[in-house]
Amino acid sequence: MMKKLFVSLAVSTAMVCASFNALAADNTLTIGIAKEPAKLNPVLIPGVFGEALAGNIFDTLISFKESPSSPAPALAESWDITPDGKLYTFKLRKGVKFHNGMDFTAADVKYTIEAIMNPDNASPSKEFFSPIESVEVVDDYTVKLHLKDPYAPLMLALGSATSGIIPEKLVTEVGMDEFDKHPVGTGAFKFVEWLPDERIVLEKNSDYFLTEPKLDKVIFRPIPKPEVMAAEVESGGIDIAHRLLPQDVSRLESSDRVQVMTIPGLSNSYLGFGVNKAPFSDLRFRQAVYYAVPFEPAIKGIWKGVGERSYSWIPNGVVPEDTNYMKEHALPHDPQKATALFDELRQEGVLPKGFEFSIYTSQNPFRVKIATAVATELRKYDIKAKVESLEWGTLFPILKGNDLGIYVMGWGSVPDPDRWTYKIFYTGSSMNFSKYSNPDIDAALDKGRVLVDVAERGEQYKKVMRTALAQEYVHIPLVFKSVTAVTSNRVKDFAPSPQDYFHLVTEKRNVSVQ
Amino acid sequence: MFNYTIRRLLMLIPILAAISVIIFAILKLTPGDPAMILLGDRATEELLRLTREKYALDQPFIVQYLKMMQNFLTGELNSIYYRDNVISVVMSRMIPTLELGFSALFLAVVVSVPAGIVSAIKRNSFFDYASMTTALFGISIPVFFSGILLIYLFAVKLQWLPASGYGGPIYTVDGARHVLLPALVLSFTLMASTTRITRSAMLDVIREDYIRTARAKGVRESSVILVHAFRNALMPITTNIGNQVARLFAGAVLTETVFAWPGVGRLAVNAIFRRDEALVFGAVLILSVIYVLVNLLVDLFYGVINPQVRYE
Repeated sequence: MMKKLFVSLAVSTAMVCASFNALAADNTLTIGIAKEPAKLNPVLIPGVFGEALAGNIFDTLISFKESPSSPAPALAESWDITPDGKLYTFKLRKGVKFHNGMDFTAADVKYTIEAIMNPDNASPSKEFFSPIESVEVVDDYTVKLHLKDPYAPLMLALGSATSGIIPEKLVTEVGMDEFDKHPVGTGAFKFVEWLPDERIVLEKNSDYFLTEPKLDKVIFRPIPKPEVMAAEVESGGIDIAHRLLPQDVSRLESSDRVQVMTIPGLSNSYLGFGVNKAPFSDLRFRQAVYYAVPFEPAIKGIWKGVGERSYSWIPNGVVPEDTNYMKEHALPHDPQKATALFDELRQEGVLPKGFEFSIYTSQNPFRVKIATAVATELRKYDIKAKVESLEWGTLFPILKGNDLGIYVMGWGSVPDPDRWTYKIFYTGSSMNFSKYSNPDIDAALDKGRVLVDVAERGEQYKKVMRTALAQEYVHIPLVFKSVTAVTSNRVKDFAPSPQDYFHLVTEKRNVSVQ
Repeated sequence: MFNYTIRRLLMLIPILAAISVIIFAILKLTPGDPAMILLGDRATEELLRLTREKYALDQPFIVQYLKMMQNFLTGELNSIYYRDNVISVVMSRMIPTLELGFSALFLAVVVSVPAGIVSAIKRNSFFDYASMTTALFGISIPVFFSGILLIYLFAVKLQWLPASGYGGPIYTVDGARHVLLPALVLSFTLMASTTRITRSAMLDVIREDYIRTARAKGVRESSVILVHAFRNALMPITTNIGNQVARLFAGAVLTETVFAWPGVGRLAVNAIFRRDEALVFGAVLILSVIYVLVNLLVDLFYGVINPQVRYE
């Protein structure tokens, strides 16, 4: 009797499981995301997780979705920049509608840019628009941007997902915060619902101006554990996974259920020195650390298969190309030189005997490992470094403070040299954790922003990199992390983006599922 | 009993007042700046100042505390991150957490109470050793390890169950399939302690004279165990399960993160990382109320299982 009961229970359970696995095969794409975006309103989006999604709901004037270096028309059909770089004129696409049916016009462009610049909104993208003096609506489909000074990175700022155009009428009616919960754009997908920590659901915008999306529905599911995300994509629970662990990626490479796609990324990890505090302020100490640690093998071992050694903040393929020079001037592993420099510093009293300090880093496992490798090597020279791996909320004020010695951090960005360098090296800039300050560098960074000629601009950034990294050794660049996306076999035409964004419909691709 | 219940409920007031002070002090002692975290790597001095002003983070602590308490009591406390009312944010996650917690509790009781009874009756048998060893593993293996193992087995290898996520209310088929793995993992620690406590409580009772008398009278063995012994062993078992409810919430923090479950545990942990002070404050207070109420229910349940209990 009991046996029969168990058998029938097992059979019915198996049937239920089987029938529901089959149900997943509809025209819905499910994407696993490592972290839920904080905001979806472009004006308020503070980081990469919002940017990764927002490009599907909102459109920008110009698009870098397919080519990170040359802009393609999006909401603007054509544009013109005066030779002095101070006036941008955009001709807008006609007949575009927001998801709620309202017409898209030049007034929306003006409203969006002014909303980003308005201090009341505390928009995280505000600084990229500070060179703009005024936005002029010429007619419904022509808009002009007047700049105080020329500003070369403006096009990239306008093409970033954080510059998605929002509907003036709706936002003034409901307010910025409410709009964030129910965003309305012109993009390929309409926002349906956002259940925090559970899912964000989009459905197709059949009237999308580029083409009709092939997907009916897109679901973004936050899955905090990378191991679980790997299991989800392998078992068919999600169609696209990103930010997986190297061991899971190499396991999935041999699986016939999924495809693994890896492309070079745009985010750099680096070891930085706080230059306000002895002995870190002494150039010889920074050189000695560089000599003391075998960075080359350590990086290969830690970022095995998921990154490429970096020698500069500017990745290969982004202007200015100066990798050879930077590589030649990177310091090799040379324990004798390290010992000599450390001894010299000790004799002068700059480096105390048995010096103890902390290497600060986030909880990113790669960074913790390289910090540990550095600490271990430094012990051989009687320097007792301790690794402190802290969660962001605790770490950030320490990085901003003045008591920093060595830290390991990283940052990724859009492919313009200004974005990697200005924030990191300009005196007092928000990501200048090293507190580096060099008037020549500041001048070069300022020039890099206002010069229009690409080659002349490039020279400024070469100067910055060569001075800061190959003369003053303020940072030791470690690795450009590659971007890996793992997709189930039913996904067609998806390609990972160097910034780890999910572009589902572009001028060249229209992602579908089979 | 009515007066007792009222008295216990009134005691909630000083308890919550004390908890609110402690949690606020901890929040303020924790290093980190909510404005900095909210703005991320784009935080400039100007933006930081504007954000601090906007959320009154530049006020003295005592003013901030009183304001937070006042807002909480009037239901106007807003999360800096969600820009929404704290109570509604927490309550929207409460259902998944309760579903997970009760499923785990149900699994634990269904498995471990019978296992504990059998272990006690067949003391030192193979079954006894096996269940006690399993219980030991259940207590020792951390959720993030057992969780990943089970996901790999049931979702990747066998493909019977979804790996993670919430599938809707647990009375729907999809909801039940989604809750099964996380509930099983969460029930492990509970199963372990309940099995052990059931076993020891049953062993204590079985040695009593009245059990020997019952057997001498010729009462059927099943009736001796279930009616005479088990009923009298229920007191420590119930106490244990009541206490475990707090552990369910604590365990839910990890389980919800591993299984991407949209519950209060994950919400609270994320709120701590984001330094969303109002949300942590509200979530802890609401969870405290629930904990106190569950314990009150357990105390009232004593009267049902043991008529000798009097509430004074």
